[in-house]
Amino acid sequence: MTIQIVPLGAGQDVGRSCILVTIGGKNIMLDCGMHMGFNDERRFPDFSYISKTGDFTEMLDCVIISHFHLDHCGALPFFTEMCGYDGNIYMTHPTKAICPILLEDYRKITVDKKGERNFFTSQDIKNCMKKVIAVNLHQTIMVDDDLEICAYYAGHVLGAAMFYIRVGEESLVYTGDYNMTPDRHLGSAWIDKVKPDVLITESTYATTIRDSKRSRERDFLKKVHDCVAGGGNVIIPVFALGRAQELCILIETYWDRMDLKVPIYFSAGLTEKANHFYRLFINWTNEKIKSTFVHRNMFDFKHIRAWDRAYIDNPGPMVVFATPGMLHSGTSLELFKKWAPDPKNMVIMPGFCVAGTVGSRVLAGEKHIKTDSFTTIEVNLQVKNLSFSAHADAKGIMQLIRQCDAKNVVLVHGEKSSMGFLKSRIMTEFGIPCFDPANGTTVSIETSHVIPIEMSASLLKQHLIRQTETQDPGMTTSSSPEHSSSDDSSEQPDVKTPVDIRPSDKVLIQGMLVMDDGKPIRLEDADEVLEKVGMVNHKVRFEVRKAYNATALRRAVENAELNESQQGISAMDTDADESQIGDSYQEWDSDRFALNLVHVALERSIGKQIKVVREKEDDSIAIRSVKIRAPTDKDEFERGGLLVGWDYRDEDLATRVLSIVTLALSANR
Amino acid sequence: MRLTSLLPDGEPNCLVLKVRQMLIMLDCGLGQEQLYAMPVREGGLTEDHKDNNSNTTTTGSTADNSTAGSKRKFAETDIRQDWASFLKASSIQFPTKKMARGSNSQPSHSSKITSSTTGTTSSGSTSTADGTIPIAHNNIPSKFMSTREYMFKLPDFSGVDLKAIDVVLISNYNHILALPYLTEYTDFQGRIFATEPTIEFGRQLMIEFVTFFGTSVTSSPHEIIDRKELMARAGAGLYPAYTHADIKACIDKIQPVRFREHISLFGSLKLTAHSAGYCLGSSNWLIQIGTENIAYVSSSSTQGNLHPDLFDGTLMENASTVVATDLCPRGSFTYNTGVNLVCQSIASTIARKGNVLIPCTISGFLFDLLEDVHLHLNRMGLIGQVQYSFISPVADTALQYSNILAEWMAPRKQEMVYIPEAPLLHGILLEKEKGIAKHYKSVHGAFSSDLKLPCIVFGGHPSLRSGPMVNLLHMWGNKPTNTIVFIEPRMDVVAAMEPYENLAIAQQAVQLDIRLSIDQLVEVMNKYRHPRHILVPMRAIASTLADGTVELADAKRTTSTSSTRWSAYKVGESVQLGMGSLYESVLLSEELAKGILPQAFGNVSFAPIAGSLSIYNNQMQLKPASVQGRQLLSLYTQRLLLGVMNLPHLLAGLTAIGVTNIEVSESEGKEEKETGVPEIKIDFELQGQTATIILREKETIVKCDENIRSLLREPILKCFQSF
Repeated sequence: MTIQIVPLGAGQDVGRSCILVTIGGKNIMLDCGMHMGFNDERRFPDFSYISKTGDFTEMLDCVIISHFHLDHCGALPFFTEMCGYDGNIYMTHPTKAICPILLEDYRKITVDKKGERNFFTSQDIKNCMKKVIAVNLHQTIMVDDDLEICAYYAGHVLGAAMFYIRVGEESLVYTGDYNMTPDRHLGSAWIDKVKPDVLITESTYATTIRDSKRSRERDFLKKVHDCVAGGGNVIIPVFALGRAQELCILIETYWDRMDLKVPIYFSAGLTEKANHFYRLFINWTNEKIKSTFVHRNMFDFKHIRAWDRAYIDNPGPMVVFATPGMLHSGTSLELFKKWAPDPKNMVIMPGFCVAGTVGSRVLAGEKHIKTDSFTTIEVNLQVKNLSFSAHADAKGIMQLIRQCDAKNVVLVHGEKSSMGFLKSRIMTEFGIPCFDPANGTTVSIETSHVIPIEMSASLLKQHLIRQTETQDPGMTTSSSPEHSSSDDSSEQPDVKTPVDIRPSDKVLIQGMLVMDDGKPIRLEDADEVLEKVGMVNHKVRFEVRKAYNATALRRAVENAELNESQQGISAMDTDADESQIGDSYQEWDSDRFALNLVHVALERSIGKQIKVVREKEDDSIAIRSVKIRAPTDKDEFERGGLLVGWDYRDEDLATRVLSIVTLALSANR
Repeated sequence: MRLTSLLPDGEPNCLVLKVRQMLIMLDCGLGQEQLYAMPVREGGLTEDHKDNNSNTTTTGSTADNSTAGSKRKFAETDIRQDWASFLKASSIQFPTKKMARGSNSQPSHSSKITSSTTGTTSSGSTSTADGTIPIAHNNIPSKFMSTREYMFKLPDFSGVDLKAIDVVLISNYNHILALPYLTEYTDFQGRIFATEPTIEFGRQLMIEFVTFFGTSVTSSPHEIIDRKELMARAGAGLYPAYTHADIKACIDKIQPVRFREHISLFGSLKLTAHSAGYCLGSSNWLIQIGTENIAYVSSSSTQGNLHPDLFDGTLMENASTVVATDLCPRGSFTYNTGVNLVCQSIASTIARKGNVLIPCTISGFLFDLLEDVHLHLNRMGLIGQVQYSFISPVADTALQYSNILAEWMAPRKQEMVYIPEAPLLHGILLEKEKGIAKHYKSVHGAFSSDLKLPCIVFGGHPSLRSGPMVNLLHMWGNKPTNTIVFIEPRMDVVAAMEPYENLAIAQQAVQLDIRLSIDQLVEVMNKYRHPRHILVPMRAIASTLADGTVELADAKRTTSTSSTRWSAYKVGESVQLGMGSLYESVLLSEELAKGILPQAFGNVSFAPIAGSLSIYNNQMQLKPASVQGRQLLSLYTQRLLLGVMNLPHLLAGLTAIGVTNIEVSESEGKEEKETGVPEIKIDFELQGQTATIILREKETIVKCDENIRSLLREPILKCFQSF
């Protein structure tokens, strides 16, 4: 079986995450993001790869969205409403709650401000969200009879999740974006040891080892602090949800700790509503916030107050979070216009800006920005661009690979050069294959296929008992059987080595697989099964005569013994010896002699694995149904030789016994 | 499999299930009935520690009650003075409720100690009608009464090897109260699973329990007593309530799970929680051992329009055994009727400017009821005047926590958070500026100063033996305009009100029960493939019988159809069930699977298989055996021949391999007399050697020389289907 992975976006690139996976015959789309850096059709993933005719619902079994960032969910309304995908979409509860708001924000910029047509509408977003099935962490969802998915906490943003996908015995983990170190309001990513065949992991910070987020936070706070200490105003253009709350918590706690009195404002009525989302999803934040929320909700900010337009002329330093995030309209633009000329002030751009917006021109370093034909903004204030996304660093990625015990790793969502470095590190450290496919290229990964069956417990018990009774436990470990069947084994005393005390980890099993349509495949005791279905077992018994040359045999044996004794005692009189043999031949029972030889040989070769019985009455040897005896009636006696009989059931055993007997009775020693 | 119930029917659940080698405890509830036999304690543990004399003042203020109240009280001695007598008293079995209600019961020796140590004379000591338990009516000085310790009888752990319990599964917060006893005072070392809300609400219930019934603050010397040792010595007797430290330690040991999260233990045990629809996080458990599926159906509800996530019946799909517990007794109101009654009762009380007391825990269907009540009052135009108060040591936490659990709610409620809005109404009512609803830790402090009449108070302990309801009953109990409404389903209203029987307060018992009734259970069951066994509590079956309707019941209190067997269990009796043939899950490796040759017999195919079974990471895998393993396996291989011997077929086969001088003769062996089929003997020569084949009905015997037997094997095997 193979698992196929095709990145439609985010292959050796950051942005527009969209990965197609074929596993166990199921097609799954992981994330459906947009690229913020493009304004043309490259903005969305190339869905025509999936289907030229556009019957996406037919082709895909489900779409999974890992978190609410637009580079992971931005193309979803386009895909469902404009491309016509109508199948299952899965995301976590907070993602489902927050994602439409971000989509709406983005839609407003592209359509309302830039006048783009052919873009999804507000109604599209609403319709799209109606198709979404919200999932809880660790909850196993059966998409259909074979495909099962399960979300794990990823810690990147509120509601971010990693997804474990399983079809039959093949499995895959898609991490989305994740963070292995807990931060101010989120916990760290965690996954069970699910042993996926493939782990598809982001690799944004593939080459970074240090805890980069902490230092960036410190950096940010220091800059803000310095600016307000110098009497400047700080404007932070944000969107109402997501980063805004992260930054608010950051500043709030810093203000608390440093006991700063400089006012902080948050513009737009959305704030309350946005914070309310976070309050309702306290369960998805970290343990600390969760345990204290009853007394003090982290999202009820003490220092942060609602912005009022009248404050704009207030003297003295202040920090303002203003919407929207790309400085293209509203409060943020108004404030920017006012404060831009003063070099004491500062603007901090915590996110990405669409090309053409004031924000992107500020970031590009333009000093004179013409917003319309009448106004030109003099940009003198300090401009900082800080990203606060929490991603796993190289150490974190390695940690996750270890944690889930992946068999293959596929890197996406990262720069090509840094991926290469991580790739080689993963391959050397874990000794597992690692891939970094480019967009549109396919990675095929072979998986070993196993079939789940049900084994009768009584059959297992029966074999376990047989193993402990008839075999020396050491036998079960691979090397021993050969060892014990070698001729010198009888000379070894029955000493149990310490190793033998260990319970055996391997049991040899024989049985009958029963395959009945619609029922699980079962492994049962062969006889029981056939009895159940009413099959007649026919008994076939073989009775064969094993001829041997008695005299030659005896001579050969005695010669062999002689040879042995000659090792110690030097030359014996061979003539005397010969005559002795001649005498005893009169009384000699050749069959008994042969049986003895056979018995010894059998005990030596297979006696440890199977019980060899010597019957007292007729001196015969019995191993299960195999019986070796001397001739009894006259007819048999005249023909000579030993008689070996067995049921066809024991054909394999009999074949083995016969070969041992042949060897034991051969005169060529 | 063996199932034993450790608590009587009608009480919270506590069962022990033994399946194969696993010992699983299903829930760990604490019997509530015993509470009614206990004396009333004023106000629980108050922060200002004024408990010391509260009992005396209480008795004084409600003079009518004082005799009735004290009659019910245990005449224990001051525990601080005499631990020996305490222990002795502990070892006496707790009186049954019936006894306790009829008269007070008290061990005679302890009354002796009472008199000797305190110098008070017992006012009377008589015996009950059956004369087994002596009774004492004591007027114990208040000094001793105030230090009274509540004692609890645990589920009957005596017959269970607690150390051997592998797993404890908790279904919802109602069935968790005895857990700290298990984890903190015994040598239990298993694992505990519950959903996140169950853990949180369970913790809150425990805190409430300790606050209401815990060691009173005045008896601090308890702290120096080794409680563990006390537990060990007390055997199956009575125990004091645990402590806050115990709760924390116990809660920390529980592993949180979500619905449909697969938990795999010891390789063979799989556990999955499924939504039960009863309260936030209420779960039913699917227990899979090997290939055996057991569904544990605890408090569940199929009632529509409630806030918890809907009942998820899929766990019954593949269950071979269903253990149903906590069923709704017959003859209760339907929920909707009940809610209407409650609303009416509240509205009429408010209309006459009376106050409403609703003793209940702040969780479960209360959140739904609150919405209905609010809506009703709104419709009646009474909303402006009313104030809701929630009084409980955990009121704040419970109210706030319940509103962040949207993931655990019904889809209707889940939608709310996308607006975003608090999914449960009280989130809005509690907003400070509105001031419609308030919550308090206890009746002391802010409650009285904030009080705005009329008022609807939720909280306290339904038993009315401790907590804020006791104070409020003293405050408002003698006015007939006020109403006390009982809504909790598991309680005994008559017993609860016994100490207050002379109060003028209007009483309304509308016990809202959303749990599954046996009929609903049957309905649910009918949707899925029928399990082999269904185990229900004895009471459920008994009432069915009395009803005489359901086809479920036969004389043996089991209700079995051809495919399904119904059995009843009751406390102290274990039910033993056969499990049928057992199977283990094994993974068959691709390499081995490639080599098998299935042969079809009708719809079923068979394929002999031999390999080496390895156990790695608790997963069994069947792989091809090593070379040595194969050698070894061949010794044990059992070949099979299926079918009937066909003579012409055999002869043709023999000729084909070059057999000459074939002579077929029928002889009259002794077999013939039994079977009627003659024995056929075939003599022939092959490669110059004579050989014989004898055919009997079910047997073929081949006699030949060793060197030609492999040649002869082929034509014989061709007559059969062989493995």
